[in-house]
Amino acid sequence: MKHELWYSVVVRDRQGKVVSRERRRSRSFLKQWNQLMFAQMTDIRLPTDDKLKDIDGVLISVYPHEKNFRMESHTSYSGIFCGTGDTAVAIDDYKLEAKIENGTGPGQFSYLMSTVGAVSISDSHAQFVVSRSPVNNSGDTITVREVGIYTSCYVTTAQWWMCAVRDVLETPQDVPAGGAITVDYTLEVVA
Amino acid sequence: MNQESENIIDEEIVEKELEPTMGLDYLVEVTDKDGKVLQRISAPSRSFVRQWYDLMSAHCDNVARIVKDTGGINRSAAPHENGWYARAAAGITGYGHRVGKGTTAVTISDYALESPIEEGAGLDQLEHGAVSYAKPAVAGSTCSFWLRRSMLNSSGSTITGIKEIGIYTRIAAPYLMCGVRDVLPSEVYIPNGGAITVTYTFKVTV
Repeated sequence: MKHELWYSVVVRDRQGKVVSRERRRSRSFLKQWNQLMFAQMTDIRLPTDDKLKDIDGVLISVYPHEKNFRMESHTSYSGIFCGTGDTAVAIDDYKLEAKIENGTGPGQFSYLMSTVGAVSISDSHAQFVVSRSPVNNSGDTITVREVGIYTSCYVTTAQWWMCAVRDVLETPQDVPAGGAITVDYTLEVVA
Repeated sequence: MNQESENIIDEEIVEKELEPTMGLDYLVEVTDKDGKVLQRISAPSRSFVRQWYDLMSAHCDNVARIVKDTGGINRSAAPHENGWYARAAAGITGYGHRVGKGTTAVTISDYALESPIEEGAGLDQLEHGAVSYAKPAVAGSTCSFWLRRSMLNSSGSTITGIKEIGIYTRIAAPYLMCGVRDVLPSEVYIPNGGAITVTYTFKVTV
């Protein structure tokens, strides 16, 4: 079995011309991904010493919930995000090292929505794609060095956010003013 | 060479550099009535099947998706708190680990075990124990947890020809799906009074 996660980044200038791209296998799902899947599969709340760490470093005891793993929707908290950190990925990373915030100020991206596709089947492959295309309206070039996925997770009825995936790009990507970077994550299994 | 081509990273090259980031392994152990291990098979799982991803896509997008249940019926499945639930109590076979006699190779569209062993103490039946677990733990650069189930042969005869294993889970009450199916490299037999224990380990590695 090949159970994999791939990412691609495509940078375009203000005219929409592709100026750079990178596609490779994701470095990793993080610890939080397995913790949340464990909660879903067992309905076991993790005890104090094993709690899930949210994107602010707060330890929480997650529950099975219908809205766990949400990647669409919220501009500031869930979906794909970019950052400027370049520290190597560790299994217990709980956020992007230096997330680029939402906005049009210096060093900020206009994130727009994250989208999630349905599963497609091809021969022995099943896959779906999570995508986002942040736009650089900051007025200056922004260099992206890390990407990742934030998802929702729940404690009873309260919504929290966790970092499920983080990757450091092989090559830092300069996103020019007025340009955009499209980040696609493909979750794939090959039977 | 233009700027675009200079900046393209060749995934075929970097693919060889990295191990899979997510993995699933299984361990099958057969013991006799005294607990002596008769057979042990350990291998990477052949596959999650498509239902696992259909449900994941539904949760990630917070919308209903079509997921095929273990009866082969397409269900409109909205994300649900019961999604992937597999910690079955003793005697429950709708979800939790299953074993069977099917021999057909795994395909991505499998929606059930080919020939699952039913619950009971009759001919070719097994008494399914409760699913147990180990919590997620980090060792080095890997985070893993496991789910385990033992099934006891009280049928009075040896059960032969066990060749497939898998995990059934809830989609959303009352629907059930097959999320994982594997065909073993060799047949397993379970003597009367013996048991088969199946452990699946879910891991992510950076």
